[in-house]
This record gives sequence, C-alpha cells and structure tokens, in this order.
Amino acid sequence: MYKFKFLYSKMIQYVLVIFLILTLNFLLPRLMPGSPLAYLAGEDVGLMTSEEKQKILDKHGLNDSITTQYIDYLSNIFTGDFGFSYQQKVPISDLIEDRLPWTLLLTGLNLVISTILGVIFGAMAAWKRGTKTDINLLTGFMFLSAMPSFWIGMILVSLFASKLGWFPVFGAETAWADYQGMERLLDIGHHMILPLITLILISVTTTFMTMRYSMLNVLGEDYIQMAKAKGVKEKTIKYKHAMRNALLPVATVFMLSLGFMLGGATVIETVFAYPGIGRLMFEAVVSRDYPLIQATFLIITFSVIIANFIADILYPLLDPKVGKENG
Amino acid sequence: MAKFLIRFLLAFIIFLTSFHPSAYAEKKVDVMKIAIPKDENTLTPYTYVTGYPGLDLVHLVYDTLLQLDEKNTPQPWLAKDYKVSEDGKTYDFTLHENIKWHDGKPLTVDDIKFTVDYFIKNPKSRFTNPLKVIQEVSITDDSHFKFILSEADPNFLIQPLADVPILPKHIWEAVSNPNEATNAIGSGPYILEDYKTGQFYKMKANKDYFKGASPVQQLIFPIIEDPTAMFTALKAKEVDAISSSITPEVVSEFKSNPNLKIEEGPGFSTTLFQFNAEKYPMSEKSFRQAVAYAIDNQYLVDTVTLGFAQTGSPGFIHPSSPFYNKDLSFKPDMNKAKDILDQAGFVDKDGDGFREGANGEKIKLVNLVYSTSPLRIRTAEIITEWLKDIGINVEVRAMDATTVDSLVWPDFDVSKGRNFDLALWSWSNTMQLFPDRMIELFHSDPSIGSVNIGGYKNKEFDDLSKELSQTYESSKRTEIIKNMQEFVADEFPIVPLYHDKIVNAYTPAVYDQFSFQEGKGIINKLSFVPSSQSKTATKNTSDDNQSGEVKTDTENKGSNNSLFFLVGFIVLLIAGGIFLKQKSNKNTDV
Amino acid sequence: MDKEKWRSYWKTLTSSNLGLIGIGILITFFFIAIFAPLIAPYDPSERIAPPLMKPNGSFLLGTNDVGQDIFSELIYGTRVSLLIGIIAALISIVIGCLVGVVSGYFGGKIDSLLMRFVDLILVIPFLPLMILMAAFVGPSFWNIILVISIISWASPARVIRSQVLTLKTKGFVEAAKSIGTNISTILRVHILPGVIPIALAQFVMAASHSILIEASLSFLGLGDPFTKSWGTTLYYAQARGAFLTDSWIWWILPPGLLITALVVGFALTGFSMEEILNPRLRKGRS
Repeated sequence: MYKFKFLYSKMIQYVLVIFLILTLNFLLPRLMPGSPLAYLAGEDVGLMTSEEKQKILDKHGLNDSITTQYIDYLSNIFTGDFGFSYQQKVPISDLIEDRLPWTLLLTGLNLVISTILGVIFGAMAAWKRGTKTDINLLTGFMFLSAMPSFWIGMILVSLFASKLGWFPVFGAETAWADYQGMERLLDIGHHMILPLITLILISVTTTFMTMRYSMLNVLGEDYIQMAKAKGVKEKTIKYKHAMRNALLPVATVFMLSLGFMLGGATVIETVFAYPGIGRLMFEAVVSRDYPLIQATFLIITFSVIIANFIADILYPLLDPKVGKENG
Repeated sequence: MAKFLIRFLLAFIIFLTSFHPSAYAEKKVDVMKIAIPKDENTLTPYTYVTGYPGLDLVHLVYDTLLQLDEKNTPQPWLAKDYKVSEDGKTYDFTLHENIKWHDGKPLTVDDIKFTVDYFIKNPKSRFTNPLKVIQEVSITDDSHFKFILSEADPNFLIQPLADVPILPKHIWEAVSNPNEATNAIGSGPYILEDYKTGQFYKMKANKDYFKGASPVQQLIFPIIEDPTAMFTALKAKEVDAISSSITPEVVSEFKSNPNLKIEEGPGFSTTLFQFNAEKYPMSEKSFRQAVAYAIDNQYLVDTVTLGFAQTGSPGFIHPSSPFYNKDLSFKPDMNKAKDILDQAGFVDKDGDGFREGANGEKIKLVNLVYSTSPLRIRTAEIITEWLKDIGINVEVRAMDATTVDSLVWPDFDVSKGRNFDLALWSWSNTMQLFPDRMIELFHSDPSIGSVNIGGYKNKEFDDLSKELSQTYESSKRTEIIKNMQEFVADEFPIVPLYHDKIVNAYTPAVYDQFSFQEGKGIINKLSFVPSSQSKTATKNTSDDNQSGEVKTDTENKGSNNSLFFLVGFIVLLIAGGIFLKQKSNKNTDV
Repeated sequence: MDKEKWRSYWKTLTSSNLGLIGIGILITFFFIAIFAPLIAPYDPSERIAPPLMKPNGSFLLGTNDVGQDIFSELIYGTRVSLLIGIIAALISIVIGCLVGVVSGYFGGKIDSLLMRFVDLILVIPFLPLMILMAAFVGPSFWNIILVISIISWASPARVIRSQVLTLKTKGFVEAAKSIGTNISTILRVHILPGVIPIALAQFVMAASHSILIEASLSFLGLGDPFTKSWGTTLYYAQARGAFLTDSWIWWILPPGLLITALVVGFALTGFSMEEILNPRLRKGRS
C-alpha cells in the first residue's frame, strides 16, 4: 500500500515535469530571435517576393496562431510524428534513427567501461586510503576531470589522426565503402577509438570518486571493523563485504548517467565530427530548425527524466533506509 | 645477356617516362573524395541547399543550355550554337545532338520548353525570376528553338541560360510538389548513385556523356561540417580535395606539404561595413565619409586575412571585374576623418571623450557581427577600435548569424525596416557577377532595392538606376555602372572592405585536372569534363600564379600532346638504335 | 558557530597535502590575476607584432591571429576565468542554499514543488538556453555568468536539501521546535552552521565546473569573443587552424593546461573540504 502511494505521487510529479518540458520545448525555439525562413528557402531568400515568403511560412504552419501551433505540436508528439526537418527536408524520425544508434553505441560503451574502471580504481584507492597509491590515483583522476573535454579531444585528433594518421578524423564509419560483417565492425571500431577514449577520460572520475567515497563509508562501518578484528581474510572483506555494499551509490550514478547518455557527448561529437544525436541538436539549434530542435530536445530530456524516474523507483527498493525518509 | 636485358629495360623505361605526361593526363581515376561542409539534401534543382557547392553538385548531375567558363563567360553547352537578335529580344538556339538523360531517354527541345514552363509554374526564385523575362518559347524543329523576350536582358546569357538546369519532362511532369522531389535524374556528367543524409553523396561518371565521360569514375562527397576536421581530413589523406576555401593561416602549412597542391584565385564575395542610413548619425553623408576614412582596408587585408584577400574598391565593384572603375582614388586617413567630423559639427562637447551630434545628441552605436566567423569578428573588433580613435562611441557585439539577420534584415524583407546601427556584412558572389545588382543594393524603393538593407535613399542614385535599366548597349552600361561606383565612393552607403580570395587545396596524386573557375574555385563541372577544358581552359600550371592567367588553347594543348608522342617516339627510336648497335657490337666481339 | 571550530576546519584542511596543494594553486592564480599588469609584458589588446609569430625572446608564446601577445593574453585571461568561475559559483550557491534550506526545512508541498523545479532545471539542455539568452542580452561577460549560474544552482540545492533533512532529524532541531523557538533562530543556530561548510565545498566545486563550462561554451562559439578568457583564446586558436600547424604547442596547450591547473586547484580544495566534513571518512585516517 505504501509503495503504491509512493509510486502514484511520483508519477503525478513526473507527468507535471513532462508537461512543463513539453511546453518549454515548444516555447524555447519560438522565443529565439530570427526566422527559420533562410533555411526553409535556401539561398533564395533575398530574391523572393514577400508573397512567396508568406507562402512558405504558411506551408509550414508558421503563420498560424501560437495556440494552433501548440495544439498541432502536442498532437503530433502523441502520435509520434516529429514532422519534417526544415533544413534537411527529411522526416525527423529518419534523422534520429540514423544518429541515435551511434550515440548509444559510443556513450553506452563509455558508460560500461568507465564504470568498471572507476569501480576498480575507486575500491583500490579507498582500500589503500592515505597511502601513495591513493594519493596518486586521486590526483590523477582529478587532473583527468579538470581537463576541458574538447581540448583533450582535439589534442588526440591532432596527434593520432592528423600527425600519425593512425585513426580517421571524422565520421562513425566509412559510410560509402559498403563494408560487410567483420570488416564493417572493424571500421566502426577504428572510427570510435579516439572519441571513446576521450569520453572515458572525462567521465571515469565521477565513478571513481563515488566508489572511493562510498567504499570509505563502508569501511568505516562497524561490521567491517568487527570482521577485521575477527581476523577474516582481507580479500574476503574487500570483495565480499566492502565492495558489494559500496556499489549502491555507484549504481545510482550509473542510472543517472544513463539519462545523460544522449546529450552528454555533444562536445565530443562535435570535435570528432561524429554523427550523433548531440551534434544533431547543436546543428538544429544553429540553423533554427524548429521541428528538429524540438525532437532532439524531447529525446534528450526524456531520457534524463526516465532515468531519474527509474532511479527514484529503484533506489528505495535497493536501500530501504532511504525510502521511508523521502516518502 | 644480362647487359642486354638491362639495356632493354632502360630503353623501355625511357620510353615510358617520355610518354608519361600525356599518359598521366588521360589517367583514369577510380574514386575521388571531395569533402563538402553541409548536407545538400536531394540534389534536385528545387531541393539543394547552398549556392556553393550545392548548386555545383546539382550542375554535375544536370546540364544547362550554356556553361560558364573559368572567366565566367558563357559558352555553348546543351545549346551548341546560339544567336541573339539586334534588339536583344530573340535568342535562336541549336540543340546539341545525341544527348541522353541518365535513364537512356533522349533529351529533346520539348524538355527545354517544359523546363521553362515548369519553373514559371512552380517558383524557385533563383531560376524562376530570371526566366520571367521569357515571353514565349517556340520550337522550330527537332533541334532548333527560340526564346522571345519581353524586353532585352543583358544578363540573360548568364542567368538563366548558364544557370537553370534543364529538367527531364518525363520525370518532372509527374512531380506536383517539387520541394520534396527526390529523383535527381539529369543529363550531366555524373549520375547520383547514393546519398545518405548528413553523411555522403556518391556519384558515378556518366559514360555516355555528350562531352565525353569524366576520367574520374566515381565521386564521393563526404559531409564534414567542422572546417578544422575537414582540413585535417585532407591533410591525413582521408579526402582528396575539399570544396571549402582553406583559411589564410593554414595556406603556408598546406603549401609546404608535398602531398597537396594549392590553387588560388579571386573570390567575388564582398565583406563590407554596413550603415543603417535611416538612423542618425549614419544618415549624415559626412559621418559615413568620416567612418570610411577611418577604415584602412589594406591593413585589414594584411592582418586579418594575412594577405589572402583583395582590398575592396570604395565603389563596391571588384577590381578584376570588367565594370570596375579604376579612376576612383581613395586613401584612408585618420586625420581627414577627424576633420570631416569636426567640420560637420560632431564634436565632444561634454568632455566624455566621445563626440556628440551637431545638436549635442549623445552618440552611442552598436556594431553587429556574426559570432560564427572569427575573421569577421576580428575585422569588426579592429574597425570598432578605429572608430573609437576618431571619437565615435561604438560597441562591438557578436551574435549568432540568425539573430544578426533578424536585426539587420528582418524577415529578409527590406520594407520591414531595420533595427541596427552598424554591421559587418557580406554579400555572395552574385552581386559581383551582375554589377547591375547595384540597383538592388542602393535603390530607395524597397520593391526595386530589394537588398538595400541599410535603407539608403538618394534621388540621384535612383535616376542612375533608371538610366541603367533602360540601357542595353554594353559600353554605355559600363559607363553608367562606373558612374554609380563614383557615386558610392562619395556617398558611402556602405564601406566595402575586402574580397576573400579562394584558395583550394587537393591531392594532385589522385587527380589534378581541375579548372579553377573565378569566384568559385575547383569544384565545378569543367573540372570533370576534360574535353571542355581544352576548349575553354585557362588552366593554371604553377602554384604561385593567380589562376586563369596562363592560357593554353586547343591547338596548343593538342600540339603539346603530339609533341610528347613525337619525343617519345624519337627516344624509342634512339633506344632501339643503341640496342641494335650494342647487339651488333656484341656479335662482332664474340 | 564559534571560531574554534573554523580554526579546526582550517587546520585539518591544511594538514592534508592535497588540500595544501589545492590552496597553493588557488593562491598562485589569485596572485597572477591581481598583479596581471605587472607580470604581463604587453597589453593583451594591443596588436604589437605581425600575426601568428612563433615563440621568441620577446614573445614567449608567440602572437595570435591579429598579432597580440599570447602570453600576456593568458595572464590577463586568469582574471576573467577566475572571475567567471567565482561569480557564477557564488550566484548558484546562494540560490542553491535558499532553495535547499527552504525545501528541506519546510518539506511537504513546498519541498516537492521546489524539487520538481530542480529536476526541470537539471534536464533542460543548456545549449539553446545559452543561444536564446545570448541573443536577447548579447553574449557578454555577465550573460555567460548568468547562464552558468542558471544551470548550475540545481545540484547544490539538492545536496543542501539533503543536509538540511539530516540536520532536521537530529534531536536538537526537534527539541528547539518543541520548545517553540522561532524559525529564524532555529535556522540561524541549528541549520545554517551545518549547511555552510557543505555550501562552501559545493561552491568550490561549482567554481571549477563554471570554468570548464565557460571554456566549452567559448569553444562551441557561444561565448563572448571579446572577453579575453582562456576559453576565448582556445576558440580563436582552434578556429584559426592552430591544430593544423605546429602552433598548437604554444597556442593551445598552455591555455588548456592553465584551465586544468585552476580547476584542479579548486577541485583539490573542495575535495579536502568534503573529506573534513564527513567525520566518518576521517576516522579511517591513521
């Protein structure tokens, strides 16, 4: 009963947030100064008569009243129709379908690898708290997180792609080459290595810090101290008791990171000219492609909301202590 | 025997190398990759996005009646011959024979009539507007047709004739919404094979092209939006050429790269300083003059563009244009700028370090610039400093392009007014290709002066415009256009700053038969239709030359080729002679 | 809050090496920022030499694309980057504290309303927000600060709220409430002392984030190109092809390293502060 009520109130809250986001998402691009006309009409815009311009605006429903546009917008979203991109003149769902897998692949791999690395090193640092290892790991990871992501990316590109020629400079694959099977996989991997390394470098620190912090907390707990006193083997304490219990906050961080998978790589995608969804959003914003801006925003924000929601639901299940406090 | 073999090989190598140049010129290239900066949508005449390189890709797939050569002079193309009547109102064409669409159907005079009608019925401003002057298309027979114009149009040969892509009737008659057209079947040297949104275009050479198939079997245009990534890709040999002009600061780096070749030539885009002439004090001629005197555009060219630009003429028209008025003399002079302001009553009365208007009005201006272009930002920054030096209170503000457009040119309609003081602006190359567009730039009536974004008004200029539009005789037109430049160089509705040069880079090992079209660069149809090059080519042979200055005409090139054959043949004879002689020596030795 | 306690905080902070290093880095940068005119050999806005010169005796890091001294630019850039970091962090922490304390202390409807709002802020993609604001206000020094603070107050608000929640459950707040102590006294005596150290740590972290965000915005071309921050230097360097030539060594490495160093300075300080605030972590220290 309690759980049901908790879920219910959470649901209501999230529906409200979603509604607000939808509205904001509708208003933001329209509040931006500048008209999408230049992109709708191509290079012609300076040559057109004003009737021709009106015709184009009419065709895209941009002369309708704001309320009509809003209603159209909502109904389209609920039918899953994002419309046509103004600039690229292709159905937006096609564009997203093209770009989404790349971002998911890149950020998904990053999430898995950096979580594993972060957990391992975090546990190691906490276990050896105060020693040289700990300090070195700590400062090393802090340096990583302090470097501007685009800066690392660009340096990697200029060293390994431009100077040494080991890796390609742009794209997610050699799209025109028609590679099949293994060959294609290798090609994709080849394109992904540099952006992936950059992403890992900038995101591993969060997990490392969380793991180290929570592991220290756990190691401070009485039962660990007791086990130590009882003479339980170090390895057993470390892996069986401490690490397992310390993973809870890491799981939360992981779940929240799931939400940022889509939007979090925008800068990296720009640096590596990687055809992901973050860059799609950036391009859309720069070119005032209203429908595309809205669609990419929605996808990116919804992924954050959903991740939050899942974290909210799972967290009390994982850790009963917190559930009651929050409810 | 070994000796013999070596000699024979040597002779063979000499033979080969002697043939190399001509053999090289006809070398087939399997694939060439040319990076472009933007998705250009489906490459139909209705759906492409940018004027360059978008329209040039369209022109690889479609043909036009005439074709501009490197000097932008129209040459016969689909129309193998044309005649213009005395009054400039009737154009007689002869269609080239045996032209086929990519799907094998023949291209006929019907297609041409259809194209004109279709563009009139379904407007696409760039093509439709210039076609509107055609009153009637009359088909004489299978290979002859006439355009009858309602009035003489001095630009008619360039636009529409060398610009409007001819559409296949059998495909487009079924297209009711051309803005969503996807079928890019044309008659051009390349057939569009594959296109992936945001990623690449793939074209294959049209083997049956009426001007001969291109030596490059396949063209791939990867889309790389970020200029740095694009340059890096070229450097790393991931692409073989790029459509964008390389920026000044990397030119020397690329020049010293043995794998790359650079071609540079004049560009016709114009970067200028725009006044809002409707607003005080920019409405005062003296104020505008003073600003013009404060701007040292040679310094801008040297510092900001590192010399890779042509300083703008104060009369707007590009110095390499045939319409350029070279008698204009104008020298920037800070002191003169200050004098002009002093005399016009712009003096600092309240001692805040900045001048006030003649009636003591405070002057505080904002100079707008696109935040996307670092070169322009730098230019705006430096100009703002100069203006401060002569005592004008100006603040420079960088905003994203769409926002600046919405302030300077609301809804892209000059009748909707303007909401800015000063702006760094630029016009694309068509303004220089058609010097009579000066009318559109400065005419006071918004329906005529459709790009008069400064809202400049002057009866004298309007009169000149009227005169120009009623004159067809070429020398008289030139004279009027020169007068207009004189007028602009005195009134300064704008201050022209510079014209960026076009600098193209490519990997010559892959393909080097590019032709550099003035104001455009190497990505154009001529680059891939070698037969046309020999006819119109003004091919550039050395890196350091400005393109289009070394001329080689058909005969010359032809004799060059035969010369190589001759030399090769002689070498072969000599080698053979030596070989025989050695052999006979050997025989006697033994 | 008594002086004793602060003194002990300071002592623990400086007793850890990492904290000392962090504070050392920060002090160095403050020093550079304050004495910039004395350290920098030239006025960074003056075009004193030919553009794109290589490093030499008179121009330690060469000149930029319009002939300004890169070294001087970086020295003065310290001021801008530090200021942006600190002001933006200050604003976001003040807002964060207000929201966090109100939300945590009063709970109930106010709490869930505020927290939903926080959620909302956390999910807004800030890219278009930045463009929107830049377009309305003009991309200026203050506008960038405004945007950074608008997007970064939300997560400190959450942290502070949970701290307030913890404090609330401690006996003395309940006790004070039950004897009818008024709200402002409870806040002042019992809540704020527990919140301020956390807020300080959050502030330091927010400052380091702000500096990174500013650099990223500038890199994407969304910053103010006329404010000479390190991010702007990087923007011009990359926009003018420094990565394609050798000039990246003196034009791109140094500003990036400076950003890294400053951020590390803040991060180490903030990290040590957090360690101190969590007594359990200290217990493990031998």
